Amino acid sequence: MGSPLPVLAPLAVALVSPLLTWTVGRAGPRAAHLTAVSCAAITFAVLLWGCLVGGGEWAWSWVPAWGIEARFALDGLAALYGLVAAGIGLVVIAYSGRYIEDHLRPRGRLGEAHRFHTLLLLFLAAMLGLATAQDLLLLFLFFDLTALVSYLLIAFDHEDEEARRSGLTALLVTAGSGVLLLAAVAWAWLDAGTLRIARITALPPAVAVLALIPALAKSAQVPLHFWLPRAMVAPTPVSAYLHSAAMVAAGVFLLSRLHPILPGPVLDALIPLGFLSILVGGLIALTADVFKRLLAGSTIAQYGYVLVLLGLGDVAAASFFVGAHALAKSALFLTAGTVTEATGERALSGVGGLARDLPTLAAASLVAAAGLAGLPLTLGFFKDELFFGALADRGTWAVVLGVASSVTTFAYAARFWAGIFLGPRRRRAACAPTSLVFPIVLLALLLLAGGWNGLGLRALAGRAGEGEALELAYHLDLRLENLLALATFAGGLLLFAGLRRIRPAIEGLVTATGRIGPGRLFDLLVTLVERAARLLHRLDVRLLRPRLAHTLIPTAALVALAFFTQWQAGFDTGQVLRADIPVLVGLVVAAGGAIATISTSSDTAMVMALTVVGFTLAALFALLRAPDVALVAALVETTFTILLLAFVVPLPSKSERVAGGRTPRLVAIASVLAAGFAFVVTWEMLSRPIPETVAARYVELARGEGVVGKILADYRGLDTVGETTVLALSLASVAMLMTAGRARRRRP
Amino acid sequence: MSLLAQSVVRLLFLPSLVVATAFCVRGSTGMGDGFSAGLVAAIATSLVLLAFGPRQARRILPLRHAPATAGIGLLLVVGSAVVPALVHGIPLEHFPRVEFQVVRLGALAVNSSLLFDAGIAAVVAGGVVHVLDRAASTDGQDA
Repeated sequence: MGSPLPVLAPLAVALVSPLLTWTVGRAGPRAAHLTAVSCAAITFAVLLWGCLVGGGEWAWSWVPAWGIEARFALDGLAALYGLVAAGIGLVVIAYSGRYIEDHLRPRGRLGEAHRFHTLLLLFLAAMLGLATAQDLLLLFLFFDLTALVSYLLIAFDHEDEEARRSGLTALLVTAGSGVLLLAAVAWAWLDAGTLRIARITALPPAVAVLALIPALAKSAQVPLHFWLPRAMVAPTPVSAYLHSAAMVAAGVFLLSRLHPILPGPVLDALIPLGFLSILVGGLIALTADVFKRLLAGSTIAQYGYVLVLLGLGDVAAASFFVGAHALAKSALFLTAGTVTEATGERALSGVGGLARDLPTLAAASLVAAAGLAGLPLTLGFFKDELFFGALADRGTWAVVLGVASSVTTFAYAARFWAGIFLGPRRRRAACAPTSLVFPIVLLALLLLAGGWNGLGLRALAGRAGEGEALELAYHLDLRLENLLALATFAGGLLLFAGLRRIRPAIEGLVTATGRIGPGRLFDLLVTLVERAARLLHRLDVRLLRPRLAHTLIPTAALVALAFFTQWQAGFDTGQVLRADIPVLVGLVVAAGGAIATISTSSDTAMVMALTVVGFTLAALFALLRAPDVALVAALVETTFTILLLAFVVPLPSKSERVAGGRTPRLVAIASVLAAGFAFVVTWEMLSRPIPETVAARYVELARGEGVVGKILADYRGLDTVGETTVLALSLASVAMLMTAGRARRRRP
Repeated sequence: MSLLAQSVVRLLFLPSLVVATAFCVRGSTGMGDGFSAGLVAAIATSLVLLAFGPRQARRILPLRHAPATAGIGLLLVVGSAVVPALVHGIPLEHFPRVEFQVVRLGALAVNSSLLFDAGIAAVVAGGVVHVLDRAASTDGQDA
C-alpha cells in the first residue's frame, strides 16, 4: 500500500472547495469566481503533485460489520481521469466567471453565481471521488452523485421550463439507470463476497450487463443518447465541462475500471454499440444547425470511439482518447459560448466569416477543431492513430468502418469551424472579452504541445492500461496508420465539400429516426406515467374514503385467498374465565367506538369516537398488567386526539366539500369486507398457541422495567433513529403544507 | 377560554414538564422513555395553546423555537448513532460502557443514552408543538 497523502490531499481539497466557494461566494459573483478558480487550481496542483510522487492508496474500515471499506487509490486510471476532470474543470471555471455574470444579469439572478461555481466544484469533487474509488459501493455513490449534480447544473436556469425538463430527462436516464448499477454492485457483492474491485476476479455476465447499461447511459451511447442533445439548454460552461470531459467520461471510466473483470462477450458487444453511436452521433453532428447540438452529436460519436477501443481491449488507448477528446471538445464548446456571447447567435445559419472579427478565437478554435478531426501536429492525431492501430488487427471491415467514422469526424469538425469563421459575414461580432478567449487559447496551446510530445498523456494512459507508455510518434513512411489517416483527410474533405448536396437526405433520416427513436419512446413513457399519475390522483387522492377502500379491497382479497387456502388451521373460541370479563367489556366498548367512527357524519364526532377506541385499548393494556404499554398508548392517544382535532376543526363542513356521489355504498361494502377478514385473521392467529416471538424475549429481558423504553432505546435503537428521522421529516412537511395552505387562502 | 382553565393550565404546565423530564431520565431503568416524555411535553404545551389561544400562548412560551428544538433533537438522535459508529464501529453504543463504573449524580445513573432519549423527546415535542402552532394559526384566530 502506498502512502495515503497523495490520494487523500486532492480529495480533501476537492471536498472543501465547494463549501468554501458557497460561503465566500455569497459576498458577490466576483468573490465566488475568484474562490472557485483558486480552489480548482489548488485541487489540480495537489492532484498533479500526487500523480508525480507516484500516487498512493488509502483505506478506512467503513462498515466493519459488513466488511465494507472506503478505499481510494490514485492509480494510473484515476490519475488520468482525475487530471482531465480537474484540469478541464479549472479552465472551464476560469471561463465561466464572466460568462455566468453575463448569463445571469439579464435574468436578475446575479445572486446565484456562487451556486453555479459551487455546483461545478461539487461535480469536480464527485469526479475525483469516482476516479479514485476502489470499492464498488463507493463507485456507485460517486457515479450517482455526478448524476444528481448534473441535474442541478443542466436545469440551472430553473425559471425555464425547457431547462427543467431537459435536466429531468438527463436525471431519469442517467440516475434512473444508476439503479441498475446498484443492483449490479449488490449482486457482485453476493457473488464475490467482497466489494473491492481488485479482489474480484470476474463478474457474472448478468452483472456485467447491469453495470453496462448505466455506463452507456452516462456516456450518452445509443440507444440512451437522447438526453445529451437535450441537455444543451444548460449554460455553455456546463456543456463544456460535463458534456465533454466529466459527466460523459464517467460512463466509459466505469467500464475502464471494471474492464479487467468484464466477461468477453460483453466487451465484444461494446464494438457494435460504439460504431452505432459513431453513426448516430455523426449524423446528428452533420445536420444540426445549433452549435451546441452539433457538438453534442459529436460527443456521442467520440465516446463511441472510446467504446470501440474498450471493446477491443485497449484501455490505454481508450484513456488517451478520452483525454485528447476532452481538451479539444471543451475548447469547441467554449468557442460556441464565446461566439454566442459576441453575436447573440446560437446556430450556424446565423453566423459566418467571423475570422476577421475574432482572429484569436478563430485560430485557437481551428487548433481545437483540428484536434478533434485528428490532424497532425495536434494531440488529436495520436488518438486517431491509436484507433486505427487497434482496428488494424481486426481485419478489413473494422478498418473500413474506422475510416468511415473518422471521415465523418473530420467533416463535422470542419463544418463547425468553417461554418462559424469562414464564408460570407452575416453579422458583425462585438469584441469578445479576453476572459472568454484566453481559456480557449490555453486549451489550443495544450493541444499543440500534445501534438509535439504527447503532453504526458502517453505515460498516464499507459499507466491506466497495462503499465507501458504508449508509443506515439510521427512516422514519415507508408505504414497502414498513415495511409488510413491520409484516406480520412481526403474523404473528410470530400464529405465536407459535398455535404450541402446530401444534407437534406441525412436530415430526413435524422428526423425519421427521431420520430421512432428511443428519445421519442422515452417521451412517450414519461407522458404515459404522467397520465397514469393524473388518473390515480383523480381516483384516489381527491377523496380520502375511496382511497381507503382502494387499499382495503385488495388487502381483503389477499386475506380471502389466505383464508380459503389455509382453512384447516382451525378456529378456537377458548374459555371465558371470570377474570376475562372486564377485558371483554372493554373490547365491546372499543368495538362500539369503531362502529361509531365509521357511521358518524361529523368529523369531530369521528375523532371523538376514534379516541374512545384508543383509550379503551390503552385501558385494556393496563388490565392486562402492562402499565408501561398503557402509559404510552394513553399518551399517544391524547396527542393524536389533539392533533386530529386541530386538523379537522378548520376543515369546511361535509356538505361544503365535494360530494362523494356513488362512493358511500362502495365504502360500506369495503368496510364490511375488510372488517370481516381482519376478524377472521385475528381469530385464526389467536387460536394458535403463542409462538416464540422476539417480543416475548423483550418482555423477559426488560424485567418489568418499561418494555417500551427498552425496545425503543436498546433492542431496536437503530430503528428508533430511523423512525425519529421519519417522524421529524413528516412533521416538518405537515407544518410546511399548512403554511402553504394558509398562504394560498390569504391570496385574493 | 375561561379564567379557571387558564389558571389550571398555568399551574399544571411546569409540573408536567417535570414529569416529562422524569420520564426522560428514568428511561432506561423505570417506566417511561424519551418518546413518552416528548408526548407529555407536547400535551402540556397544547393545553397552553388551547387555553390562551395562539397569540397569547406565543407570548408565554417560546413557541417559535419549536422547529429548532426538533432539529436539535434529531441531531442528538442521529449523533448518538453515528458518533460511536465512527469511534468504535458500533452504532448507538453508549458511554460509559456497561463494564465500567456507573457514574452517579444523586440517584441518577449518568449515561450518554440520556442524550438519545432527550433527542427523541425534543423531536416529538418540538415537532408536535410546531404543527399544532401552525394549525392554531391557520384557524384564522391569528392569521
